[in-house]
Amino acid sequence: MIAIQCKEIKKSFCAGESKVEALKGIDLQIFEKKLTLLVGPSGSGKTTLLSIIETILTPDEGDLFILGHHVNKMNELEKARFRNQNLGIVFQTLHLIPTLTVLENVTLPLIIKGEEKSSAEKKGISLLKQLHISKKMNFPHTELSRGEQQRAAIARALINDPPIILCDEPTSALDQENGITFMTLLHELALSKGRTVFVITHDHRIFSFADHIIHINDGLIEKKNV
Amino acid sequence: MIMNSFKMLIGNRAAFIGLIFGFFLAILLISQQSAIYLGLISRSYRISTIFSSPDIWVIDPTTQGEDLIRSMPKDYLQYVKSIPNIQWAVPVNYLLLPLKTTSGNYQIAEVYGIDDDTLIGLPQSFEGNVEGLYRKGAVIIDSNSAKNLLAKTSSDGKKIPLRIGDEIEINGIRGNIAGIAKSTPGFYPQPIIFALHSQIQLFSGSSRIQYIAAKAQKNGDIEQILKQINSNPKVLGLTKNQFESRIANHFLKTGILINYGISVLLGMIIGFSIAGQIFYMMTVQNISYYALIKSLGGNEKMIFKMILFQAVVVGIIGYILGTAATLLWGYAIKNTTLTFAFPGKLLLFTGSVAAIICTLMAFLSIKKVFKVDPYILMTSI
Repeated sequence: MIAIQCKEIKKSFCAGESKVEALKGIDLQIFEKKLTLLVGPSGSGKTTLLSIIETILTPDEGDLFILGHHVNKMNELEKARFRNQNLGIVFQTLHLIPTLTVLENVTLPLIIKGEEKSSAEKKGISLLKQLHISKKMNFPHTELSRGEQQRAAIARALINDPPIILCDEPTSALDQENGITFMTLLHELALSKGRTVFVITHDHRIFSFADHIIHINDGLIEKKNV
Repeated sequence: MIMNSFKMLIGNRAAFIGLIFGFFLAILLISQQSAIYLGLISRSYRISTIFSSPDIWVIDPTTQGEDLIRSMPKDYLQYVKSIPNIQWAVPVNYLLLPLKTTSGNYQIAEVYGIDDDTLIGLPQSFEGNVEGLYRKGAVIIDSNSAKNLLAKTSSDGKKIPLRIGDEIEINGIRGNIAGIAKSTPGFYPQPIIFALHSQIQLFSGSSRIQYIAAKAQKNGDIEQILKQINSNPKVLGLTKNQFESRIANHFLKTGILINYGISVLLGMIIGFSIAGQIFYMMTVQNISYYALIKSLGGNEKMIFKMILFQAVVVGIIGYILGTAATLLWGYAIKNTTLTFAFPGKLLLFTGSVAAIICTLMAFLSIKKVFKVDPYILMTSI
């Protein structure tokens, strides 16, 4: 079954008076319950494609289907609701809010969804326990190590139990050991529960975790390895 | 999300304190300047504060304010008394008369009359006794003048205050001090004298009166009474509020208060600039967090509520602190000659201004946040 399907996705940006074509017509299929890596050099269009799949960037042309929904036809409000319910996002810079505690950061998607604080906290604590950072749940994330912060960011992506997890260069700031730990955790918490995981990376150390590897270069899909 | 919004607001301590300080300063400027402004206006109709019990004032139609009074013949008092449903009516004097002390101090004094029969116009508390007022030439003098303006200066430069029993000269007529009272000063640093209406006739050499103060019967219709008073074109009957407004409006023509009004407006602009700018800067600092909330599924309505809540919290704290500081200022100058009036309406006014500033600064920030694209999260490293 296909979880994400891109058809002829094109996106360009204005850079001064010139126009840069970031994506030149992407055709892509990402399968359910699989870990797919999108790899490519800097400036190849990885982040642009991920942003479009995250529905936070609108393509100029082409169609995007996620879990059978034609995302292009949704308005901003519908996209926001769709993101909240179906997508768990782990950003490269994590984007944890420093004035909130780890638990508050983790439960943010549930609170946005409208869930009661007590129920959201219960779920958050349970998840943080699985990730072995429950002892630091009342600390601001600035008091956590990079690895712990990464786990908090995964917890936030998983808290709403979304069917799709999207990660942007999750291991780029981690050493070998932490990088492997992160991917093991992602595999354990996401794939074992039947979620679809899509990761953009250029970190060769984690290629062994992938079910599929898609190569992108200069705004076009180069090859697909299964 | 409201709790998270609150934590985002107080999380950046320096910005939060700066914001509260900015808002506090704005409210302090607005309420303190307004209180001074209102204090000044209230001094223009001080006569209605001294004579607080009447609910009807009768004047010559050309009388505008304390500096433009046309006296009326005393017969008009009988006319007012003859109007049905008038409980009582008394003559009220307000004159400016030259005053000289035995030590040679010379001032122009404001002289207020006290009704001989009812003692309406008598200061609420004073040093001395009422019987003394009936002695020929007896007056009550305000304590500030007795201690300062009219005090004798000894050879070693010390001030010797005037005392009960001391002689003074009013308009060339000998008088004596029968009492000393505390009184709110007027616009000018002039002595304030209270004397019985009969004594004032002696000092001024005229039986004419400046105002007539009257009280309606308990069930009397004031509008109906005024209609009957005003059927005589030689007099103008006014309610207490109308009388105060007429005098205040005349005073407003001087331009002094317009300048004060401008300073209040300036306070609002400065306050808005400080608070608005800090709030906007804080929002800009937090912009990536709002983008994150959008990326996690938050909609504009939610973000609108969050920012509005932050502005309201800042507004309420700033409003309470600013108002408290103004009231403290008022308390501190209570016994000085400085002006200060803080009626309940001023609370409403500053509250409304605070609400306007909050709304404006929230809207400025909301506009910025609405425009932010969650895509910035992918590009900012």
